[in-house]
Amino acid sequence: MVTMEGSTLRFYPEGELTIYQVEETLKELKGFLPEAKEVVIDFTVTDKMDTAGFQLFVSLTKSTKASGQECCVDGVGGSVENFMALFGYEWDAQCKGEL
Amino acid sequence: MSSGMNFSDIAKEFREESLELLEAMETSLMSIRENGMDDEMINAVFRAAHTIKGAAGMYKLDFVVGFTHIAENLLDQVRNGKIEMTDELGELLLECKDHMQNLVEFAVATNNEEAPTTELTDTTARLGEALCTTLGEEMHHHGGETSKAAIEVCADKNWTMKLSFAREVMEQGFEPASFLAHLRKNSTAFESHVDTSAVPLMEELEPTACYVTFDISFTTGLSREDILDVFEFIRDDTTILLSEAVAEVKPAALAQTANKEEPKKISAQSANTQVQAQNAYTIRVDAEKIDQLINQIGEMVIANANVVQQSIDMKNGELIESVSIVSRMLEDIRESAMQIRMVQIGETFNRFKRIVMDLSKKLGKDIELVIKGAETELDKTVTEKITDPLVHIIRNAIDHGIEMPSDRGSKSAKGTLTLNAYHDAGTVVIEITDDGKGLDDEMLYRKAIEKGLIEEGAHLSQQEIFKLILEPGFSTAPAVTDLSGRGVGMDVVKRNIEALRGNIEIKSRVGEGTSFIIRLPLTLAIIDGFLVKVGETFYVIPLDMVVECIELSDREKEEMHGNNYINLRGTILPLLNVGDLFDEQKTADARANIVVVHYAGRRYGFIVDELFGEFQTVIKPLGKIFADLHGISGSTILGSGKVALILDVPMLVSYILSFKGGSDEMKSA
Repeated sequence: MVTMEGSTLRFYPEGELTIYQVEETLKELKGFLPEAKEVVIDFTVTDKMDTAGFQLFVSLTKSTKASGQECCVDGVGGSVENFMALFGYEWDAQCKGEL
Repeated sequence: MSSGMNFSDIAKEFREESLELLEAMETSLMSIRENGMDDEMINAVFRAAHTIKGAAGMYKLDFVVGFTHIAENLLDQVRNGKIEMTDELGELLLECKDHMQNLVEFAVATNNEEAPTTELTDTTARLGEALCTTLGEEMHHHGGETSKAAIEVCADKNWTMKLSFAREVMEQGFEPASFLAHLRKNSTAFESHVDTSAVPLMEELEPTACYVTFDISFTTGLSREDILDVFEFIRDDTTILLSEAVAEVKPAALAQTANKEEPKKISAQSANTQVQAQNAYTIRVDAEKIDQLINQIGEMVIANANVVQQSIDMKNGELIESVSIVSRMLEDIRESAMQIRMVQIGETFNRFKRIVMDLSKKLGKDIELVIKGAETELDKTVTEKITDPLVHIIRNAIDHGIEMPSDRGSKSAKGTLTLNAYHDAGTVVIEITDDGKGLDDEMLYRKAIEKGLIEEGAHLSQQEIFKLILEPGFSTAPAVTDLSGRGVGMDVVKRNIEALRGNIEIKSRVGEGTSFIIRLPLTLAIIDGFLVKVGETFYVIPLDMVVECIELSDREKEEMHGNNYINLRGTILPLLNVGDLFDEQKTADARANIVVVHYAGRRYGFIVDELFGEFQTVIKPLGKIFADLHGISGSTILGSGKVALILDVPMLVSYILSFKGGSDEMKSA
């Protein structure tokens, strides 16, 4: 779900990214993030997202921006797309460009 | 017709709740009619319609939902000030309330397994059209011609909402997205924008805290209440700013949200107020459970009386003390339990406002209803049983008592009907007074002879003549109307009141009006009694009626000279010898005591042998074999296991008054 490939942190939640996974995932992300120069997020294998998962994603993008790291979303599956549409989330221009 | 799966299980409860709400609706509509538009009242009317619709929807009572939905839409516009509340609209809404009641009754009677009758669907169509005309909307028949009752009104409105959840909403098990999804599902158009500015960096992120807020625009046929109901369980801690666009807008025109009214903030504070108001409301308990509780307490009172008796017999001071504490506590429990059954009579009186309005309009009379003593409390069972008799009396007063405006002579053209209730010596008195033409005793007397109720030349007091109108088959109305005048009703009134151990008195003056004075016992279950003994039999007199006890000295006995009264401190006190009345054996050494009772504004004395004092009395009905036994209203069981008879004071008083000249002596006293 969270891996480091060189200086790239890859975040690809498999299955669910909900309140039940967020705490553990947050710990992992916090552990890897300081070493990363770039963060790549991939939601193509994410079946379900909820508000807690969404906030984790937003917080991650904000954190990378604050520390000058690059961040992009590599792919989005139907479930996450629907969720984002329900919330009316406007993708960050920086990430959006990579989609 | 689809049937609610478990409707039969909840039909009774649904009916009771709906009727209660409909009653509240009527009361509020009548209040608006009398006192002008009032936000609280119109909200109460709206809430009643909304709740009935919601409950009917749960059990798929489509014809109730369809009709109530239109009324609810109209009420929503009225409370928002977009449609003016007029007398005509008030009457239309009252008619709708009646129709809702008929629909509910039909659904319950048929277990929602039958389609509404033609009469019901016709009324639905007629009233629905009238509502829609007022709404300025077109009525759409749902499901074609075969289902005229299922009416849907296309009343989609545009809404905007600012939504801010409590930080801990997710910890409480709620998922914010599900509320949005529900709204989207019930909207023809939905557009949301999430504000993530409050989401912190990862170092500060609390995984279960909610940071996001939303701006939502949507188009839906849901009412404001329906929308807010989506958030019912989290409303305390959620800030919802909901505003509605004035004009009906097609879904595509969502962006055109001009002319918006000021957002109505449902803040945590106001939501809390609502919750508190709901908490202060009542709990619905099956009346049978309360009856069961009171019966059990009654048995406890009897068992306790036995314990008291035994503790006295054992002459154990400490035990007597302990038992007396238990007795006091038991008395408190009994009081509290009886209090559960007590309801204010105003609830019943309020129902009559509508009757007075409808009947006076129908007859072309102008009648004002004045209600006094609405806060007077009475046993729920008594209240329920007295309603029909009161309706009869009120209908008669309007129909026969109060004259047409042109016939009222020097009196005000507007007639007055007064309902008054108050407590008096352990009884509740209900007075129904009109300022109409009054009862003509000569005419009543002649009529009674014609009807064969009395024989020509019979000597009757004025009160006895007035009471002839309570006899079966007695009607003085020259023409039988559909309101009254069939001679059935007033005799039923008398029978019902007597079945409640009450009595009825009539006062009237020609040209000035008539008063019906009904006296009823406060309760039918347990009373504080005063225990006495006559011969070998114990009797109980309701304590509330007892004023004092005096010993009848030999000198006073002599001064009586066989008369049935004594001079009590300068006042004539009529007496009844209970022992003589019930053929009790006289004991040679028995002292004569007089228990002075107060009833209907006068005092009377009952001669008894021994006085035992206060006694908690559980009223047990006498068997059918004693149905014709006058002067006894019931029995109770003493601690010793012996039976005591409860004296029926109203009946005994009327017996005293029936002595020759007794009535006149009362007046002079």
